[in-house]
Amino acid sequence: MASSLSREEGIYGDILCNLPECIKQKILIYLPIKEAVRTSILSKSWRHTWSTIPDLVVDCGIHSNVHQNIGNEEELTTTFVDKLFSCHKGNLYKFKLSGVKPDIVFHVRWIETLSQKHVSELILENDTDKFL
Amino acid sequence: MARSSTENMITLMSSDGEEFMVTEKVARECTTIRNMLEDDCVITNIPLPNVTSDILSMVIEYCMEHVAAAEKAAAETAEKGSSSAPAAAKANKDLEEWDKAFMNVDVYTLCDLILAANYLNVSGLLDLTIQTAANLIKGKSPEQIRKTFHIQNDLSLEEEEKIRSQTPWAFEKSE
Repeated sequence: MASSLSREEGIYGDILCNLPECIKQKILIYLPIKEAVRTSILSKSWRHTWSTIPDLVVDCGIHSNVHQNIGNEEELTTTFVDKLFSCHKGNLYKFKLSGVKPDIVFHVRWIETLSQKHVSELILENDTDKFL
Repeated sequence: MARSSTENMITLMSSDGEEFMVTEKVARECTTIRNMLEDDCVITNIPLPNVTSDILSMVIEYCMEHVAAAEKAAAETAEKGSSSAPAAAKANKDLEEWDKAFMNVDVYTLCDLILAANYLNVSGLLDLTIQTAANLIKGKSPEQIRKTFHIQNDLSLEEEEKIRSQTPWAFEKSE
């Protein structure tokens, strides 16, 4: 009882902020990428967490929220990945692009970025199987 | 659960001095403890200064349930010679349901469980608690997330605007 009272009074502080950075990163890995990025405005301690997560999974499928603008799907994917790479700071363990067209152009600059980030796992998953 | 009388018992001591006697098999679900036991096989009393008694009892409850489920599955396989797929699927579903009910806790307990699972290295419990925390964030506005987890927004309006302008694509409205 005493403990829950002190928690309500705020002595416990920001509970999620007390978690180690590696745990916060693990939580963000379970979120769609845009939602993970949006946690940067929660508070100072969350500002940079998303930009150092070791796994980036981008779902470009038609039901994902990556493409909100009307336009060429290929171009939108390219722009999105470029923007993502320009903001992500740390090394990457895994990079996955799902829901892409089988003939997606995987740009040389992405390979360069991924190699700088020492990526170990690169997964490209296309949507075609689902529609066959 | 019937327990073999020859099974080793280990005493785990919480930060507030409470003692929990568990079978070695249950204790071994925690990789941190398993490593201690492998380094020193005569150890029977393990102090855990980072885990309070209420959280430790929950971690033990989780480990006991998962050990019991694994033992039951192994016994059924041994009895029938091969595992029956529908029975195994049902057992998995039951365990998932149990996990789900186990995660019906407040956010303070959830965060304490995450820290304990991380410290004791119980991978199943760590995944479960982290997934649960992520589900509490998913689909919510920043304001709702702050409220759920009692996060104080210590960013000034200017700072918040700056962050939004660095990644405007993440804040586009549509969902």
